Amino acid sequence: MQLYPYINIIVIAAVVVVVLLNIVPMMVWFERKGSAFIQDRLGPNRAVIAVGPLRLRLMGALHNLADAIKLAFKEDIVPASANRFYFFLAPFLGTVVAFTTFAVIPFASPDLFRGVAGLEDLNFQVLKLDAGVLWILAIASFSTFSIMLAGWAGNSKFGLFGSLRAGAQMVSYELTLGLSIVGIVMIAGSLEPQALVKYQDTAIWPFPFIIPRWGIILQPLSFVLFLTCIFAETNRTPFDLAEGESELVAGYHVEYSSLRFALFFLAEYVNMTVGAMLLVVLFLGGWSIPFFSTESLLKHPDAVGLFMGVAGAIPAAVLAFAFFRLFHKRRSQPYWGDLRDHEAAVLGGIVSLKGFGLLVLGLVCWFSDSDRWPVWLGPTIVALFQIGFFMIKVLFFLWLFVWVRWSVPRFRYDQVMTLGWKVMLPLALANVALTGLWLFCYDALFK
Amino acid sequence: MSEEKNVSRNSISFFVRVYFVEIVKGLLITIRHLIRNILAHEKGLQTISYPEEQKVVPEGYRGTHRLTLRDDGTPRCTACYLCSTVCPANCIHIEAIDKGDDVIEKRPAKFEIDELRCVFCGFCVEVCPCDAIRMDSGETVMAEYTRRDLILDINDLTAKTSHDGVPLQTHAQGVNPKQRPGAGQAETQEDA
Repeated sequence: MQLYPYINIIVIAAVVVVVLLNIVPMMVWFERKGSAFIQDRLGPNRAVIAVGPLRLRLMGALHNLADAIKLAFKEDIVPASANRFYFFLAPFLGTVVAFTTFAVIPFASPDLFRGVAGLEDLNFQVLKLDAGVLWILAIASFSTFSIMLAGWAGNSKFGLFGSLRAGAQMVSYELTLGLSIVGIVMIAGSLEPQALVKYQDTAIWPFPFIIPRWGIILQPLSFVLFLTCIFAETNRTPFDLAEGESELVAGYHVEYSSLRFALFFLAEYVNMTVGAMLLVVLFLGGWSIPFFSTESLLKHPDAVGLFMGVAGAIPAAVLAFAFFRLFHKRRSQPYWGDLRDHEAAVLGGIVSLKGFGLLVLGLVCWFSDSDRWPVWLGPTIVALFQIGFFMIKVLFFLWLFVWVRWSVPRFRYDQVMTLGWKVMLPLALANVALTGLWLFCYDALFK
Repeated sequence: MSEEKNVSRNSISFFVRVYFVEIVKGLLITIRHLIRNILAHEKGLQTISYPEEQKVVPEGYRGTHRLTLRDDGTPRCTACYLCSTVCPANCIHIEAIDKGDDVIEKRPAKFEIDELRCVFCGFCVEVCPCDAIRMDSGETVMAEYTRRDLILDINDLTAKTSHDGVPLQTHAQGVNPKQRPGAGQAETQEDA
């Protein structure tokens, strides 16, 4: 029996789940601190861990830990008139669906480890499905069930209204979501995410080699449509009328408390991450790096190592400078007047050590003889580079979710429906038709 | 027959109706705030980090009550019951006593204010003929472990007055020992 594919799946799945679970608290921190700074507030800064004489606050990031502990120890209330089975089922369904969608997202090129140490393709995705894009659409539409069940099972009119709104909205926008993908699928000629990314890994013109063949350049209209639909599917502002606080208290999860509420929270942020990764895979070339194809990266792993070291050291240096400047300011004022003033220096020290370490590693890569490296080292460095680049793109879109939430006001229900059915659906259909026409003409004229 | 009425609306230009450009404009505004607040090290922020720094209580702001004193150190109150009569919340309880003084016939034997019932309307201060009760202590934060602790008796009320007749609390003057330096300057800049 061939064990290797199963080991591959298990290892990648474990890594993906750990990374996802770590993205969620980071996103919560983004959300809280970012919204605070956008609104000229201070944001969370009170939760503290006392390490010896030091007081670590990590700029409010520890509040997530406190929140998690609080939610875990809250009383779990089930309304007397609730349907207990569906009430219990809804949050689990939401979370499971959110995590399952990740199975087909590719993080790096599968060709990297070909022929290294007797390996076949090492898939940087949990499931290699030929109909991966369809899988995403099919599984993601299950989250509607979670929301509908949650609103209905709680037997509360606010929850029911919220879930009705969410259900109508998600059904309406799922059409446009699917149709906006069709354009890029038609051009690339595959439903398999790895193949889609591989298609985008080249340049439109071989020389001067400037414009990558990314979906956002080939299909700008469907990128905008898809982005809007992702906002609607994840129930984020400006489409968050399912949880409009002013009308519906909290929307579909109004009856939930304790860890069940936390599961909804988790599912929301994981769904956002799915949306961001989908956007990157379909429209921003996934793990592909503009100017550098996978083959050219594999030929020069030493240069990749140097680039990664320098590229990691520069933001670390900027951060460290900012921390030390902050420390200097707080000491000279004095800001708190106690040990809390020293925290910035500790963080600055850690960050500058990290930057220095990255720089040294990069220089070692550059000056050592890459021909005498072990065979797995070069592909590993390239894989890290591609995963890092992928995560940078994903982080940008995650930040976009937060950024838009605190900038754009909520739509009215009729506006959402008008936009979905009368504007976006026709545009998506027109985009599909135009893409087909363009492909036909291209084939007729140039082939 | 109903009267026909035309309501004119401002026409929206095409760019505004597309809404996409307007969203980008809004995003630029918010990111400008974010970057400014990160670079300026919390200088333009409106938040007051509460226990460390407190809002400067303006003069004339009604805080908890205090009883003023005569030159000889006794309360100026003559137990005339005007304040307890005018009090809409019924939170002032006075008992009078005759101490044998021919000039000041009555003095308060008991003077209690239930700060939990008080609505801070200031009528008692207005009505007092002797300027005996004031609300200029600058204390706005009342937190105790039991409700009984917030029913202030005559000793608590006079203890807030020094022998010079000024309130002991320094909030009213805007001098807060724990206040972060520079916070007051930022506020004046905001005003300007």
